[in-house]
Amino acid sequence: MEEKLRIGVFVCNCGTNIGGFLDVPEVAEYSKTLPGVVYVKENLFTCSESGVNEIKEGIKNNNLNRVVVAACTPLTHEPTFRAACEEAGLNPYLFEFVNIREQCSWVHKNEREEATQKAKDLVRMGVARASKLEPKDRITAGVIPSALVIGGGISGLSAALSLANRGFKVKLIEKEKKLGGLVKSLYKIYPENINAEEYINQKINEVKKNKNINVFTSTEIKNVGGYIGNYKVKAENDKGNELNFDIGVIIVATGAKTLSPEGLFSYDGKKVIDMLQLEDKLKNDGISQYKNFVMILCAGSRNNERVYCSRICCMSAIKNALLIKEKNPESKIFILYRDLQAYGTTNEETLRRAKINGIRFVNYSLNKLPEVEDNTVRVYNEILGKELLIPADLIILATPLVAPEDNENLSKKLKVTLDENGFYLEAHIKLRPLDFSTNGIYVCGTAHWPASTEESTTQALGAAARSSIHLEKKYVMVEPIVSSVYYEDECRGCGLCASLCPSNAIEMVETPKGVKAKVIEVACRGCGICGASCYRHAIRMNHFSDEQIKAQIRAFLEE
Amino acid sequence: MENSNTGTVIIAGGGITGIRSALELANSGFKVYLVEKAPAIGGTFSQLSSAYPDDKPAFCRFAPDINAVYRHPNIKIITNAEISRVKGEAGNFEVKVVKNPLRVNENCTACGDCMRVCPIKPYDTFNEGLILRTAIDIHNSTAYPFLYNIEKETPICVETCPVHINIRKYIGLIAEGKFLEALKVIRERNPLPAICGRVCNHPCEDACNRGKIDQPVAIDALKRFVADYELKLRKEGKSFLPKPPEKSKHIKVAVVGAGPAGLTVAHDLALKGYDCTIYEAAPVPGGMLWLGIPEYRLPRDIIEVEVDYIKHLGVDIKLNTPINKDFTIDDLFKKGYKAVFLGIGAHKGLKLRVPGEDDYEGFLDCVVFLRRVNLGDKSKPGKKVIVIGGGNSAIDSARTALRLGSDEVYILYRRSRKEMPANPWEVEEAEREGVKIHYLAAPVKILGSNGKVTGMLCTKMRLGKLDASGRRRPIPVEGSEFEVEADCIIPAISQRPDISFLHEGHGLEISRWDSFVIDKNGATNRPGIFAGGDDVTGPATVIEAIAAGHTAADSMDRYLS
Repeated sequence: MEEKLRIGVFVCNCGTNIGGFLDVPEVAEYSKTLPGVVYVKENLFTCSESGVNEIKEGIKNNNLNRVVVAACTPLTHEPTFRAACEEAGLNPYLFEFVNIREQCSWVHKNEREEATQKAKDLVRMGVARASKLEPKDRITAGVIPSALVIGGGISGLSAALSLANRGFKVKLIEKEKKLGGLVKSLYKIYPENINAEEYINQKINEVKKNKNINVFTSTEIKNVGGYIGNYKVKAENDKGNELNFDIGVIIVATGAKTLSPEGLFSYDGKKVIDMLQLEDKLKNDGISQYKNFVMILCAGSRNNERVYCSRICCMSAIKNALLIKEKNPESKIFILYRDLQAYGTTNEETLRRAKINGIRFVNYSLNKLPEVEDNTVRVYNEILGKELLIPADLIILATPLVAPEDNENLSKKLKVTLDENGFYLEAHIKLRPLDFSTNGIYVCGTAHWPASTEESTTQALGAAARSSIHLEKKYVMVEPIVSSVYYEDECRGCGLCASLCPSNAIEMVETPKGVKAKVIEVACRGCGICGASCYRHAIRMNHFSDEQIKAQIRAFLEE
Repeated sequence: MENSNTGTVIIAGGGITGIRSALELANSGFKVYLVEKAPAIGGTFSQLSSAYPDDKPAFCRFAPDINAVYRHPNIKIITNAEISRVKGEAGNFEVKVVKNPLRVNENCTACGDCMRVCPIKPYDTFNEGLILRTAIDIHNSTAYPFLYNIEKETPICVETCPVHINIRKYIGLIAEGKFLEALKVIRERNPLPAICGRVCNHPCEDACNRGKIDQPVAIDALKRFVADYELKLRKEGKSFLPKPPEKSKHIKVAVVGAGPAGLTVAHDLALKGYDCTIYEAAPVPGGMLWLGIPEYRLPRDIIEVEVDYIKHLGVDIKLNTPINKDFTIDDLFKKGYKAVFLGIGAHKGLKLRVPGEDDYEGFLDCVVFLRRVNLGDKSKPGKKVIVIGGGNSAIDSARTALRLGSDEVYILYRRSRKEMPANPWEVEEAEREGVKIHYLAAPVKILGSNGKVTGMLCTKMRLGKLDASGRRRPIPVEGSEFEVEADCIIPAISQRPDISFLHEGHGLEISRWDSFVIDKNGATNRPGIFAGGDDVTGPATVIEAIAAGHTAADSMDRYLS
């Protein structure tokens, strides 16, 4: 037998945020007339502790089985009120939130009567939807306690070590023959000027020695299936062997590469070289024959083609200029720049040291790019307003880090997004800077955006910490606001939903009645794309069902 | 590794970084304490209107995190609190957190009526002082849950007091009738309560907010009252001195000079377990307290009682024992003292630098005069006395002369009454007693005959623009000279430390005003030798000397441990 509806409505004044612009007592009085409503309470601040207690007591004293709060935005306060319901013994999904602040009082500040009327309409709609709400249980799923790290550069190595040292099994996949990534091609690492090769080799050895880490070089990801806590990853090595991993979480640390300087500033690889070639020359004592050095910053970046700043070139140029000076104090070095990024105490200090050591900085603009001629660089100095001719035996181009073409391919397999420059895009720049919007996959290092060794390591440790939460807990719990193939008979197994799903949350399964779509609840993010696209209306969004939304619309039209 | 999720983490700072770290750790199974100084978590981020680069209201982006932190079973939020001490090592820290009271209890229903009626409106720090808030308020109106509290700043009196006695606390205790507890609070910062209760210039009262309405709280008199109250009980055998501390450090420290600075150093160090000896050149303790301040202002038994208290703590005071060229500072170190404090005061009067100053008898510096009187010589300095200067020593000299039987006593001061550095109540009392004060007058020449002072040629002054001291500069008015008859002239125009006691090669850095040069910790350039009080600042107040004593004692303790 269906339980009789006993709805409680709580109308919030939000101090004066709502109460100041519409007639809250009138809305509360009106709520009492709505079908199923047995209890109405007006609060000064519903979200205050006293307000929350009033909800709890209202539920207990009046045997409420639905709760409607007319207040502000669910974004901030829905968890609070759901928790209040739960604490009072009511299923938290029998709660409905009506926003009469952002959607009413704040946008109708000068129309008190109309705002009051609109608030009544919104409450009526909320009560109608509440009457159709169903109790739901949170969804949990186990987590396989192992991680996959894609990429064996400084980020991948650091993330793998961090996870392994916490006791988790790590598979580290690197598509190149050797571990080490970009750092391997550097001479010294800023700011401590430690030997890059020694540093990275030490990391590689630590990884290799660690019993919790399995390293697979010359290996590429072929396919990624499954969902958070239970990923099925297929990879293949250069010998054509297929490898299968069951994985809980994935960290993307595929890194970046430097832009090829071909076609820029008369690049020839001999007299005009790029920064990596300079690092190589420094490593092999190959600079003693040169006296006049010119470095050109922003070579191929911050232009129409590549609008972004590569962030690391300024400091690596200054670092290398100082290293040249160290080896050859007689050398003359000019750094041609557009804007200098030397933020923070250490960087500022290094820049100052460079200036003291006689390294000259010349400002140029995008409108008048420096021109490389025989043994000279012609540059228009923006500050002097004059053209300079600078003698040059060796010209070094600081080209930006760019995203590898592979990103496109791998991002599709992982179902994660890239930004307009082909770098991996995080879920939210502030709230979830190391997560992808797909749960259980994380990003760090230069795969994310150009970053220094230090920043890459920081991000790697962060990604390891983020991902270890699930590994540590051994289960994931998600909101039950997910889709379901509710009318399974209607499903024709077309697979449209599965291909559109941005979260990899729908799989097509064989059933006695033919191929049917099946929702992997734990992977579903509740976006509703599948439901909207299903031409058979077989898919239903839990907690936002057609019945609930229709009831809301009917209530709106009733008046 | 198995224990990895049973650990406890304390996070200092409840801004976005602290909140996110707390959530990450708590979600991994750690127990987290989030300690925030402000009454609500949120930090700078919650103050922002919108946040780059998405320009969404910053707080709405952040609110889910704040909610999650509040509701997380593994996170305990401690706001209005600070970490005061950390002991131990990684894996086993012991952290002391001091929580400031909210002053609003859990019965608060967040109705907001208190804010509407609150009359105190300080600047709203959450809004960067752009608007006013009320003393009781919600620190951050968007935070969850609403936390009403009364945020109190250090009261102006405590801030102004050079030794920062917790004045509000002791006056509150007096109001509750807890006199001895009040005295204990005073003694935490002031070892000479009965003395200060009589002679302190009490800048606290000048700053007292109540003074803007009618008159300041009588802070100094209340201090005197509780000190006298205890004294009375002690005399009646109803109260006893506390048990002296043990000389647990087994380190000897010497203090040169038994003035307020030296007494404070010895007091503080004795309580810390040092073995302190004070070397005093005079036959009496107290320095300027005894030698400079007249008895009618500060009865000698009060000085004795307070000095007895310090002696009772185990401090040995050697009177009539000057440090000089025969018994030098270096000898102190040879005798086993590990550190020396120099608190010799400023006992050397400055010269007037007017013609005739050294030519006639009847010329008596105020320091010499007061010292002579205070050590028992009650003969009157002259029939007609001129005191030159506007400080407390000038007033003391004038009133003392009058009380010793001089017929007429004049004070000559070159600025106006407003600029006079003496305590205004002293000036008032002096005038009432019959001291005649010539304002805007300065000496030009000392007049005399037969080797004796007969008077002084003076000039009238007018006030010009502000000088470096922040007072208006006196300028002589041409042709305004006048004569004052006198048989005694007492200059009281400031003093300097008398450093003639120093032996050759003492190695101490001396300023051009003969004062000791110290760093902010009270240390001189010679390791182990500290200084403070008038011998560093020039003539100043008792309470400033006590403050200098505390500073020096603290750094001597650090130096010795």
